[in-house]
Amino acid sequence: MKTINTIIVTLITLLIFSSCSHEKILNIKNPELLKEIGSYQTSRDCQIIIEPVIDNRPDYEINVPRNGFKLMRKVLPIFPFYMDFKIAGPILRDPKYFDTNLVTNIQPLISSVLEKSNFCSGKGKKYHLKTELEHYYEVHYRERSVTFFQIVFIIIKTKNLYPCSQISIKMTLIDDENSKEIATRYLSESYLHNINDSINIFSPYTTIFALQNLVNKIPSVVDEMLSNVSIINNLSSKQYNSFKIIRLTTEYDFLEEMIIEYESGRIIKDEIVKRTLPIFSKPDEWVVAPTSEDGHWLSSNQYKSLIEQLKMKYDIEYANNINAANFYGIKK
Amino acid sequence: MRLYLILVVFIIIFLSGCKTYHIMYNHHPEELMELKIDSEVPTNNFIGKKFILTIISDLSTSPTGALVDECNYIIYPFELSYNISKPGYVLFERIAEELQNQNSIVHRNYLPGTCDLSNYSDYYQIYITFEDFQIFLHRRDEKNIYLLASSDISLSMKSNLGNITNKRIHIDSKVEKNNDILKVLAQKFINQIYQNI
Repeated sequence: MKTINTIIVTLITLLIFSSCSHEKILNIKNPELLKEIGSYQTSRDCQIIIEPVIDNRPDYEINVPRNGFKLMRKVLPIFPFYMDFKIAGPILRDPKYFDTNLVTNIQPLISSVLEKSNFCSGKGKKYHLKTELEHYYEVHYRERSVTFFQIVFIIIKTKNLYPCSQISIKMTLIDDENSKEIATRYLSESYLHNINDSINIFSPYTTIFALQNLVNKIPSVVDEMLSNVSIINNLSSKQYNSFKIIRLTTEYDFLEEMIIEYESGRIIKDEIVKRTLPIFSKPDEWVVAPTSEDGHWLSSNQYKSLIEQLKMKYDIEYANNINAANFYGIKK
Repeated sequence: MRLYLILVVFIIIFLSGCKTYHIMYNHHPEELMELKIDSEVPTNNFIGKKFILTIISDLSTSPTGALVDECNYIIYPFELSYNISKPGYVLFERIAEELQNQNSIVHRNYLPGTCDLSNYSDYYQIYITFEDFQIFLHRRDEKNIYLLASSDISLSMKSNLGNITNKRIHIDSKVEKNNDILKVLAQKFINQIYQNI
């Protein structure tokens, strides 16, 4: 009897403190990730060479700790009939389950995204896009409560909660001719938990949602980096029939976009869209969008020229934001 | 005998160990709980000073915030309810606001390298990277509820005379629940840069 009890308790101990994994390995070379990427009607004259991605993740994201459990609550044992304790902590998902060749596969993913967006013609001046992976993780919170009754009866309750993930990359655009760095931008997207989320073996990895959000933004961020060196020439002397103003929402994830007819001031369109543009203003302020009609980022000079034209009819000024001019309505 | 030895081991594990709350590996609310309570922090006056604040990046790791409830042994992420999905950007705006409250002229720059800054040679140019940010609502009991926050920030500062200073700073704060912790953090930030003005 004693031996049986020993075996039972030992097995239960191993069960409590071990974790087993039956996880499916994903592959980020998934065409579904490109489904929300739009296409520019015109392209810049440029060629972008995507360099292999550099892995800058902190050590604990690559060599995931066994677990982060800490003792949270304990009820003193009424020896040997009853004892109860609770352990909890963050659990990082092992990165091998995101994609066996995660860092290698990001390069073709970025290449596919830029190709689908059509923002670059593939002819003309060459640029290199250097990408560094800063963060790529999924974490959730696991609570495990263990109650022993009479030594051999045991109740284990495990809750896996609050899945969150984050992906951050640093992109640097480099001129091929002189190796000069043109611009560096950081992109960071998270999946934040939903109160109804819980993890089970059928849950999708939340990194997929974060990756989708990140991938959607890559074309406009790279387009903005190129805006002052690869100018869209057919815009240089264009008179604008309509223009767009934008207001960022407080959580930074959406934009309210309004298209206004220049001559009449009539609002042609007013909609809220998911933000794919880089952040260039603070929330809740209306600014004139620094983009062309088909969404390309204007150069600084093109934007100044747009503002000068709009100022003839509208109350617009640079109010402490050097990237975008604030819009206050029709001039009185 | 063996069984009782195992149980003794359990009891030792049981009675030892500390109560710590983590939603994310690099976030430590128990350390922030040791801070003294801040109310508003006195700040230096920047009359006549001009600044261009540039945000390089917000690298804060998610989840950024959590509710830590000692009474009920709950820890619950609350990023969205505090509108802190981009905490670095939120703090950036508060820093700009606090500098303006201290009578200085402030321009914000969200896209480094885009604009020609030669017209701003008499401005202090500060380039900010938010390396990390954590915020907690810590409930010890019904009466003792605190907001805790900290941020690690790398900054590069170019003075109007062309001198460049690079440094990494840590700002943290603990306030009672209904106080504005972001304002306190912003005040602590501008006090740190005052040393280089």
